[in-house]
Amino acid sequence: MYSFDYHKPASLSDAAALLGKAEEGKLMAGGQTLIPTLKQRLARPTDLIDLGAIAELKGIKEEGGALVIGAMARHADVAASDVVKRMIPGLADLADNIGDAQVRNRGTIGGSIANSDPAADYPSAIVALNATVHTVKRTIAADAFFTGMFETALEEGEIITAIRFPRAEKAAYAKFRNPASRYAVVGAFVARTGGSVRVAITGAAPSVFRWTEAEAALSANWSAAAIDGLSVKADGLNADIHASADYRANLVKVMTKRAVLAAG
Amino acid sequence: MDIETVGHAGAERFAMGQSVPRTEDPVLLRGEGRYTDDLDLPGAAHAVFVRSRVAHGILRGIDTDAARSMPGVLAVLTAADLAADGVGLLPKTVSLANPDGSPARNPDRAALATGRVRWVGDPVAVVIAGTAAEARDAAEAVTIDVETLPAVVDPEAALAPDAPQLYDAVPGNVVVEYRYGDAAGVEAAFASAHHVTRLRFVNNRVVVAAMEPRAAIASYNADDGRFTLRMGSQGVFGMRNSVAKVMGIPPETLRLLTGNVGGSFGMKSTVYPEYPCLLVAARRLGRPVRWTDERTESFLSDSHGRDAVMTAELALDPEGRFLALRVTGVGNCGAHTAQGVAIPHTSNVVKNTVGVYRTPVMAVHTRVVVTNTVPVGAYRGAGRPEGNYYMERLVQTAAAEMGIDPVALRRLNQVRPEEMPWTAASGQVYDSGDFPAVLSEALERSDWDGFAARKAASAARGLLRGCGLAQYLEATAPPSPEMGGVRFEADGTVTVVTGTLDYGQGHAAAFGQVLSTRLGVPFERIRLVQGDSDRLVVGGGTGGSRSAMASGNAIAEAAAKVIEKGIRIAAFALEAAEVDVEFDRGAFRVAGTDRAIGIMELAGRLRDGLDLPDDLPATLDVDHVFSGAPSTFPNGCHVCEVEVDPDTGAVRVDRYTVVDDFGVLINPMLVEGQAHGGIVQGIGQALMEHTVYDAEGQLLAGSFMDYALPRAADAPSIAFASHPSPARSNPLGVKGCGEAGCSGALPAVMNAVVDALAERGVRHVDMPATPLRIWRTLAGG
Ligand SMILES: Cc1cc2nc3c(=O)[nH]c(=O)nc-3n(C[C@H](O)[C@H](O)[C@H](O)COP(=O)(O)OP(=O)(O)OC[C@H]3O[C@@H](n4cnc5c(N)ncnc54)[C@H](O)[C@@H]3O)c2cc1C
Repeated sequence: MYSFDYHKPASLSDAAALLGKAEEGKLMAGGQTLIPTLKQRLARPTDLIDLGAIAELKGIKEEGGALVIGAMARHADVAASDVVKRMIPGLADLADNIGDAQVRNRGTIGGSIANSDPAADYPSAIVALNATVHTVKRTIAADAFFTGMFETALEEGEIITAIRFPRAEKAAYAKFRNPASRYAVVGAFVARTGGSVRVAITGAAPSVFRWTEAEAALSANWSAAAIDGLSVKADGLNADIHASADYRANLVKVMTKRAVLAAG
Repeated sequence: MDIETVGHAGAERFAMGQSVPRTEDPVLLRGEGRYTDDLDLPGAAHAVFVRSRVAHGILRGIDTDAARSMPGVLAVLTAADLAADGVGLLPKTVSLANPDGSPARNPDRAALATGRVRWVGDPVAVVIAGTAAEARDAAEAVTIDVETLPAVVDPEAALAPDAPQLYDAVPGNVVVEYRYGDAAGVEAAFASAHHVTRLRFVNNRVVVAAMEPRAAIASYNADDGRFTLRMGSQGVFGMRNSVAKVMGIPPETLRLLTGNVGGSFGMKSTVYPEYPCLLVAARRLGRPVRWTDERTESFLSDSHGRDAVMTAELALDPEGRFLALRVTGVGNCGAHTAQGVAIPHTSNVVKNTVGVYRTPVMAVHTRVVVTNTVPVGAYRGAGRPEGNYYMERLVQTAAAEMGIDPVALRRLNQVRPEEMPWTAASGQVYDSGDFPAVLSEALERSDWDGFAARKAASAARGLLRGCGLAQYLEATAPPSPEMGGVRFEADGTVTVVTGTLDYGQGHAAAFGQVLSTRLGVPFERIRLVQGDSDRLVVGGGTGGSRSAMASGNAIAEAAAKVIEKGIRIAAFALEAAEVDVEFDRGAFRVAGTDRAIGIMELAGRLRDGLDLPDDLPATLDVDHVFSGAPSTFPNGCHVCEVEVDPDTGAVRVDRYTVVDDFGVLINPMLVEGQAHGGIVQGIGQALMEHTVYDAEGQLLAGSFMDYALPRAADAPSIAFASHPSPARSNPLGVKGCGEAGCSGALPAVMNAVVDALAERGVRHVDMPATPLRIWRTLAGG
C-alpha cells in the first residue's frame, strides 16, 4: 500500500467537497475490493474518502410501495433486514450468500454495484428487479447502469446514495459459487412483476445481462420446464481456470431453472 | 516416609492411552502464542525480497542504485554480496544414483539468482530498510534486466527433446532416473497375465498454504561471533547444521530457535534462500533483520507439493490374484533441488504402492525433472498418498474390468495377520497388521450394505451417488537417532528435551503422557523443550510421521535411564542395598517394606544438596540418544460416499468412515485429529486444489481468490475408529499417524467419484475433480 490521506466526512456535501479538492480521490465503502487493490499496489490514490460516517447513505426502508436500500447498507444488514425479507425475500437470500461472514459484515451494496465486478451477485438483482440507482445528481435505470466489465454509467466523482427496488411478486436468485472466492461463477436472478418477467445473469459474461429468451419463455409459462428447450451460446462468455465458456453456458440454464424453482 | 505423597492424584488421567487435551491450546487460543513474527527484537530492520516476474530468462543485470538511495534503505544485497561474504550453495537434496551408477544431477543453486531466473518468484535481490514499508517501496525500485527464454512447466513436457533446458548441468532436465525392482520378471508376469489394468494418473500440484506464513529473524553478536536465527522449522538441530553449512560457519556458532509454528506439512523443513540472506544482512548491519512472507508471496516462495504423472499397471490371474505391479512416469521437482525433492517420485513410490496386498514382484521406473515452477518439496505424505492412490484406483478398476466384487478382490489378495512379518515386493518388512479385520470393521461401520438404498434416494433427487473404498498402508520414516533428555529443574518442573518439533500436532501432551506413565512424574510439572538448538545433542526433527516413534521411544528409554540412576541414589537415601530397591508408579521403594521415596522428592533432595558419595550420580538428569525405530506400517480402510450433481458437476462428500491401525495410541484424541486433518487435506487435493500455470510459467491460481482450499463446510463429519495391531518394531508399539489421512483419502474420494459416474460409462477421472472437470467428463469431452 502506498501512503494516502484518509478522510471520514459526516455529510454527502463534505464528501463531494473532499473529492473535488483531492488530486486523485477515491471513495471507500466497505473496502472489500478497494483495500486489497491498495495492498497489492494496483492503485495509488492521494486521498481516501471513507463514506462510513454519512448517515444519509444508511438505512433500509419501505417507501411508496418500493424497497429503498441506502448505498452503505452492508450485505449482512440486507440479509437480516425484516423489510427486505418481507418485501423481496430473494434479495435477502442473495445478500446472505455473498462471500463469507467477514465480507458480508463490511461490504456494501453501493460499493458492489459501483465496482461492477462481472462475478458480483447484486448486479443481477438490480437488473432483474428493474431497480433504479440514485446518485447525488440523478437516478439511473438498471438497464442503463452496468455498461461493461468494472464499468458503470457513474461519472467521475458521482456518489451512489440509494437503490430503489419495486416490489416483485416472485423473485429468487440461484448461484453457482466459485469454490475459492465464493463469487458467482454464474448467478441467475429471476423476477416476475405483473405480467413481466426479467431474468438477469451475472458471472457468465463481462457484465450482467438479461436473458431475453428465458424472459419470453417464462412469461408464457412460469416454470422451470419452460427453460428446457432453450439453448445458450458460449460465444462471448467468460472463460477462466474455474469454468470454460461452454460450461458457463450450461450453468446459465441450470441456475435459471433453479431460480425459478426457488421463486415458486 | 508418607506413602500419600508418593504417586499423585489422578495420574491415570494423564497416562498413555488417555485423550489428554493439548497443553498449548489455552495459550494459542488466547492469542498468547509466540510465532516468529510475534517476536519484537529491538532495532530490527526489515527485509523484502525482489523476485523474478518471468519464469525463465537470462539475468542480464540488476540495477539497485535507485533502491539504495530510497528513504530508510540500509542495504540491497544480490548474489554477489552473498558470495563475497563466504555464503555457499544451498543444500542439494537428491542423494539418489542413476541406473548407471552416476550421481543425481543436482543443479548448483545459490540463495539469490545467478546467471538466470528460473521461476516466477525466484529471489533475485533483498532490500533491507528501517521499516517494512520503506523496504517494500525500495524493492519496487530494483530493476531486473531479464532476457526472457521459453519456459516449461509440465513434467512430461520437460522430457521432450526440444523442451527448454533449465541447466547445462542437468541434461534433458532430468535430475535423476530411478529404477527399482526386477523389471524383466515384472515384464514376464505382465506378458503371461490373464488381465492387465492400466491407468495414467495426474497427481496434481498443490500449494501448501500453511496458516502461518514463513518468517525469520536473524541477529549477530559481534562480541562472541555467534548468530541467532529465529524461524519456523520442523526441527532446529538439522536446520541449524544445514544453515551453518550454507553460511560456511561452524554449527556451534549458530543458535536456531523455533517458537510456535502454524503448520508446515513438510514445507518449512528445508533451507530457503531467505535465511542465509537475513544472516548476512544482520552481520553486515550489526542489527537484527526480520522478514515475514506475505500470502501472495508464499504462493511463489514456499515449496509446493505433489506434481507427477505416473502410469500404474497391475497384472492379474484369472481369479484376480495380483501377479505384478509396475509404476512408470515422471515427477516434477520444480526449479531446483534445494527445496525440490525426489523422494515422493522415487523411493516412496516403491514403499507405498503395493500396500496390503500379496504381490510377488514390482518394478518402478521414474524420472525426476526440473521445470520453471516453484520447487516441489515434501508435502504431507511425500509419496505415501500418491502410491496408495495409484494402487487403490488400480484395484477398483481391475475389479470393475474383471467383474469381481471389489471387496472380494481385496480379500483375495490381502496379506493375512498370520503371515507377519511379511516381506513385501517393495522390500519392506511389515511387522504387524490385521488387514482383513480392518476391512471388515470399515465395511460394517460405514454401513456398506446400506449403500444401494442411499444411492436410490440420491437418484430420486437427480444426484449420482458413489461409494469409494481404499485400504491404504504406508511406510513411515526410516530409523534415525533422536534425543530424549530429561531434566529435573530447580523450580520443581521436569523438562523433556527432544529434537522433533510440534507445528500443530500437540507433542507436549503426548510426550508428557509417555514420561508421566513411565516415570510417575506429575503431568502438570512436565515442560517440553524442542525449539532450541543449543539444548540438543541430536535431533531428527519432525517428518515422515516419525515423532511418536522417535521422540516417544527416546523419552521412554530416557525414563528407564532415570530410573537406573534413581535406584542407586534412592538406595543411599533409604539406607538400603541397590538390589533391594524397586521402582513403581513414581516411587523408589525398599522391597517388602513401607520405606519409599517419590521421584520428585528424590529430585528435591538432590537439589537441596543431599550429600552423596562420589561414585553415585549427582542428578537424575539424562541426555539419552535413542538409536531410532524402524519404519512402521500404519494402515487402515477409508470408506467415502459422494453425491455428484450431474447438471453442474459439483461433488459433495456426504459420508466418511475410517478405521485405522496406528498401533498403540498414546493420545487417541490427538491421533483422531491427525486423521481428520489428513483426510480433509486429501479431500482438498482430490476435489478442489488446482494449481494452474499458464504456458509462460505464470501461476494463475496465485491467491485464495482462485486457489480453493477446503473450508469446514467442505468437509464431512468423519467417523473414526481405531483397530490397533501394536507395532512389534518399537518399544512403545506405536505407528505413525500424521500423514495417513491423506494416504487413504485420495483413493477413497476418487474411487467414490468414479463409482458415482460409472453408470454414465466413466472409468477414470483425474484429480482435482472440480465441477468443470466432472461436467466435461459427463459431457464426453
Ligand atoms: C473474499 C471476498 C469474497 C467476495 N465474495 C463476493 C461474492 O460472493 N459476491 C459478491 O457479489 N461480492 C463478493 N465480494 C465483494 C464484496 O462483497 C463487496 O461487494 C465489494 O468488495 C465492494 O463493496 P465495498 O463496500 O467493499 O466497496 P469498496 O471496496 O469500498 O469500493 C469498491 C469501489 O466502489 C466505489 N464506491 C464505493 N461506494 C460507492 C458509492 N456509494 N458511490 C460510488 N462509488 C462507490 C469505490 O470508490 C471503489 O472504487 C467478495 C469480496 C471478497 C474480499
